[in-house]
Amino acid sequence: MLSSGICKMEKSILNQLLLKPCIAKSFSHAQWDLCLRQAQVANLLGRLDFVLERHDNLQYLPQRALNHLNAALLRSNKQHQDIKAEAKLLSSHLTDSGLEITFLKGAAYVLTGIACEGRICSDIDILVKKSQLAKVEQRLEAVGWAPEAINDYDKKYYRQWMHEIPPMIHLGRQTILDVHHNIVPLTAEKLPNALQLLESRCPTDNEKTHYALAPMDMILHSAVHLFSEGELDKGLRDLTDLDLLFKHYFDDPSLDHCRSKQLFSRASQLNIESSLVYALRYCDKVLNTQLPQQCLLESAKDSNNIFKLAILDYCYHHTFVPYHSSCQGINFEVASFILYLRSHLKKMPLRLLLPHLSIKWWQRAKKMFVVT
Amino acid sequence: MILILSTYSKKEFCQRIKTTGLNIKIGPFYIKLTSNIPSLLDNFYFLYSDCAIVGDDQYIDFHICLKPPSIFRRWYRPQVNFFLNEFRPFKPLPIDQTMAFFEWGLNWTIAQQALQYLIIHAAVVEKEGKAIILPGMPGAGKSTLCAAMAHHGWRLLSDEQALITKNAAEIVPLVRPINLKNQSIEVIKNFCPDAQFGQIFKQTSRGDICHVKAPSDAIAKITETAQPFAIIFPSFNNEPSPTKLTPMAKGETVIELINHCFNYSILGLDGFNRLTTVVENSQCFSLSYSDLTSAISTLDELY
Repeated sequence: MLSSGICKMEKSILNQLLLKPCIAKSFSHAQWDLCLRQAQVANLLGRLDFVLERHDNLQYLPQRALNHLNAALLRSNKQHQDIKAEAKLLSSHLTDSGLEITFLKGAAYVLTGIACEGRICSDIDILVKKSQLAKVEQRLEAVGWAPEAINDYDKKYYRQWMHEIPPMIHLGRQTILDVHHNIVPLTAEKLPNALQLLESRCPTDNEKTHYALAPMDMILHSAVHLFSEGELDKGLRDLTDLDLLFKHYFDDPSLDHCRSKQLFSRASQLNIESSLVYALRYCDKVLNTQLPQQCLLESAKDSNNIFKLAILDYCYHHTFVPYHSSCQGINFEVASFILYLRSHLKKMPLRLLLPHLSIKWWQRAKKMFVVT
Repeated sequence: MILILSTYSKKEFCQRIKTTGLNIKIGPFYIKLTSNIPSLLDNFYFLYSDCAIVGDDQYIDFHICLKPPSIFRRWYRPQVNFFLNEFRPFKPLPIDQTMAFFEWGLNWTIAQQALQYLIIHAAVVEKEGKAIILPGMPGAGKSTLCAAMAHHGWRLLSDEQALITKNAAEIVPLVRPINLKNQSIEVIKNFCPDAQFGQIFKQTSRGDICHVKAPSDAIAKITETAQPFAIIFPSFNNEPSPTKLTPMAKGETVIELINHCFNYSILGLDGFNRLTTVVENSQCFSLSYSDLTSAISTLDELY
């Protein structure tokens, strides 16, 4: 099973390139064609341009492929411009009313300039204090944001169990906004204290217009998000985010030792050590991220359950690939299913999960029935 | 040597498009089309017969696939889906509109992805290397005028999209079938006896649709670009009335053209520079017409 799995993975030419950029030299036009199609599906077209440029590999691309990379770059630049404009409005509307907001994920990468290379975002994520949540919602509704239409069950699901409220949409600009009050679902076994994250947030500009999490917390949030995710269609993209976040955090070798220590102690303070360990492990394995020795040693200490780790290795090996038909086979299906179940089990205990999944599957079946 | 589609027998063509996909050059783009829908195969083989075949070792710009959503849907009110690199940007359409769906889907694909060009929603025809750009809202008679001109001494560059190059000096041909709607189908059948028509698709979301095959010489000159020469905003009058060519100010033309661009805002300053350069180098008019012969001779006088 494993050997056929490795065989299938070989078909992700994008993964091979990310792991070993020097192979670009020998790519044929047809291989570039497949590589860019995989990158497009994985939402990595814009980022691929940066990866190729960093390794001086753009010269090997046919002109047609360059056109597509340039187009992806134009699209992501335009989106970054739009996100900055939207962030400016959000920050001013909310801080005017004495409310604090902190940008997360894509919007935070764009505003801080860390891990924003060619990044495409589907929405804007913000973190607010739970005590201010009601006021934030009120204020947002007053300036043109409305909750997206969802059914009553989903509404209850969000309000009762989730770390975010139902997505909001700006009625004029159609931007989607996710308002979070924690970084993992409230039903999770170990709930981090969101106030600790907010206490150490940092301004993204000199004028202190916008705030994002501290660089260390940005890594941890990205890790906890990715390794509790059940559907990994954007998994490879998110892993490249982590790669860039690590590169930025460990930018000075003389500080590696101390920063590595700080990172692990912060992770344990927030109860999300295992996510950090996985982030390091798969950045190393899938993207060959240059990580300090100290970090890898520290993460090896934690990984005592060899059996569990072997299963996760199998799963992530087959799912950190573009969700493109050329990379999908039986191993991909099995691995995705295991991760889907694992994610739900981590999010909520069985007594909540079983009724929840039954309702979700019933809703999905009903929808399919109505459509056909 | 360039191999064109009609050198394949119908059987060979069908086999390719159903299995490995057919690599074809449409305008400056390389496209791989995969489909097993008979009506698309018939219409495509007829309408694109003059286009060049592209080798399997090339970088392909757009991988397009049209196929039914499910086995069930092949029998019960059959539908078709449009996929661009495995992504489905649109809801399915009735299967008998597959050819029209391909044309719309390709328009969308180019408008979204070909950001190396500033793309204006306009027909383009050329004489003596000088291009006339005919922008127009749906129903303004842009395609009708374009089809008529393409069969009366002008070379067709595009019926739908004007591709403006980086320095705005040239327009790149994107020769494809001309898309006629409703009463203009009958008008062009009468006005251009040598035009070749595809199947008529009744009652689509845009009314009755018929594609006119692009003239062979226009496809043969697919690599010959043209310089912007005139920008004409046509408007067709149902009531018989004299042809009227009214000069337009350059500023007004720019503002009006922005509304007809597909990718102006994403190109930013570059888009603005290209658009203003095109307008700078062109004569600008609005044209009101009810008679094609008179409209064409009026435009002839510009040269």
